[in-house]
Amino acid sequence: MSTVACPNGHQSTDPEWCDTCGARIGAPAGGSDPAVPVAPQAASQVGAAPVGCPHCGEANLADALFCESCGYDFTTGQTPAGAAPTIDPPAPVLPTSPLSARQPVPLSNVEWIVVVEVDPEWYALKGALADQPCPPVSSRTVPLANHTALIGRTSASRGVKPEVALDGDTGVSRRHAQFVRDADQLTVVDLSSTNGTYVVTGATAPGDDVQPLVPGVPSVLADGDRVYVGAWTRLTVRLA
Amino acid sequence: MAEFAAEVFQNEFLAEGATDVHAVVSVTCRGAGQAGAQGEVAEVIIVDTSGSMDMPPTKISAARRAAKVAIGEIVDGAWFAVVSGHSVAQMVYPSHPGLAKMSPVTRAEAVQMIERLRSGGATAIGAWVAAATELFEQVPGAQKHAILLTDGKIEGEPAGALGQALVGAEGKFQCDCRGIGDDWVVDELRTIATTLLGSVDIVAEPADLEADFEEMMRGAMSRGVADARLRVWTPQGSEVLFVRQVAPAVDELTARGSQVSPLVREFPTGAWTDESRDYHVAVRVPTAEVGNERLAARVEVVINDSVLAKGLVKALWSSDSQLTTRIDPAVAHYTGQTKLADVIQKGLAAKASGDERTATVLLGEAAKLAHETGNENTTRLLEKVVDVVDADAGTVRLKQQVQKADEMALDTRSTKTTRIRREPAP
Repeated sequence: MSTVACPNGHQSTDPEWCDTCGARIGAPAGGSDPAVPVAPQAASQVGAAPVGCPHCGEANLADALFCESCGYDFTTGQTPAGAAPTIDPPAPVLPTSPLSARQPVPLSNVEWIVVVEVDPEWYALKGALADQPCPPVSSRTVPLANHTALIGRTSASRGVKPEVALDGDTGVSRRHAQFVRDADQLTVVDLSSTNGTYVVTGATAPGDDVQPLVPGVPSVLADGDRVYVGAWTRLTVRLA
Repeated sequence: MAEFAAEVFQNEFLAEGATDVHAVVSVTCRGAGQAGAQGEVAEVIIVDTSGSMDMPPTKISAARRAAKVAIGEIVDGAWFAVVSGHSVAQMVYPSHPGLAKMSPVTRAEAVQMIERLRSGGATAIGAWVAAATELFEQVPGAQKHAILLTDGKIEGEPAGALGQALVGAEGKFQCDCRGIGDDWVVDELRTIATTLLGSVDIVAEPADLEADFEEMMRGAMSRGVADARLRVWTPQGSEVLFVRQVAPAVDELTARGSQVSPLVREFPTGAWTDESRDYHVAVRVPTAEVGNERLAARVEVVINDSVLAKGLVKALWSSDSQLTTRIDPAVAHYTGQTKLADVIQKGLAAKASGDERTATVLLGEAAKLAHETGNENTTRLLEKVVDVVDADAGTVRLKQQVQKADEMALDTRSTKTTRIRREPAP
């Protein structure tokens, strides 16, 4: 964004009134001396290389007197009143996340996890299945420990205890679908659910044209693929 | 999409050495549309069903009728719930603690359940507000509004319960409050209404409740702009003295502002319909030499971080005392109206504490201010509490026999202001 200089030396993005002190730009500094008004364009073009504000980190022109963003005074080093320093601490060095290790993994030892999330976008498509508002966005992770993992809703009376339990989402059948893990691949298969199971691959968002899986026919999943069920549930499969 | 316009009324001329800039910023919204047009809407109706609602029983039956009428005004597709408030908050409709989607079917079911409302128990308003907050948490993105009806003062819950509930509720939803009869406490409902950006009023006669609820809910449904904020930029080294809504009613916003950046603060204004509101902004700026012109404040109407209207408050230092001593009529008018609300509330408080002398002086000043600023509604309400001997001089006598409801009406409506100029044609 181009800036202009105000009579008091601030750089302003508003060409009429200074962003920092509110002075009318183009008016003489101090107001008493009818000197030549500062030519705004000229000032911004000769601006030297930007310097970082020690207070907030914002890049400022080298000859700026105050920080454009926080009002830090470059001359006196005075911080703006009432403002806490907002310099970002150096990003903590995270332990290498297991999620980021996407390098080839020995096939015999492939581990999968499922990220269970509330997806308002899916709710926008299928929310009518549940006669209640979309719950707040939440996320939890379920590891796929066994050869198969049932997706469904817990029912004590029917003895259904799904590994991927979606008890809140009434659009999910009790026995809805199942993840099946082989030595080298993960598949999902719809178990003739009432409202269907939907697979979306890659980075695309589900649209109106999304088609449910044919019940009983396994669909192969890759890292990052998403399985949509019920009124708001998104299951993202990940290599662990 | 709604359109906003901002107009600034001020005398920008400051004397040498002067620092305080006052301005009235008039914000007008046009084309707001209907609630729910831009997103989800949620409504919760809280009806007091404490034991006193049966004394007389016309109150509970009026509350039932009013709740039914309000349900009728909620648009199809909106989320809603009806809560019965006594010692706890109890779901009336839907039966589970949650919100239902409005349709002809759920509307009929809700009306049936309202029919069964019976009274009994205490008045735990804090618990009711907390329950509404919890219900609204299910629809974080929606435009959320509640109506709270009570007939009594808080009892049956600890003293700090309401304050605590309001801390959790602030910024989550708007709440219009109504007191029925004259056994409720104006301060309790006013605290809720101001914290939750709603209105407060007295409905002395149970028979009037139905029409009031209908109007209130129709108003809520016409607010097509879910949440607008007032963003105020002031220059470096300046101080925001206050930001106050002054029309249609006095509402102090200063403490509710949040610092966006060192020079910018934002104030919540809630939902808007096609309407006009005035704000009095006062800024103390560093003084400058005569001839200098500065921007003292930039007031913007912001929705979702996009600026819809902008008003500039300026400061121009001058040595011409003819220019600098003039007070802008709008600023003068609203300064008077704000003072009017203040002296009425203080006067009534003095009267309640038995200090008739102070009450007479303050209410006399109120009568004078109301007369001067042409606030006929307030004058009429005042005349039910005091005998005005001389409005110009502010001489009044306290009436010996005063209906409690009249005093409460004067108290609750003291913040309502009149406008100085005529409304622009709709």
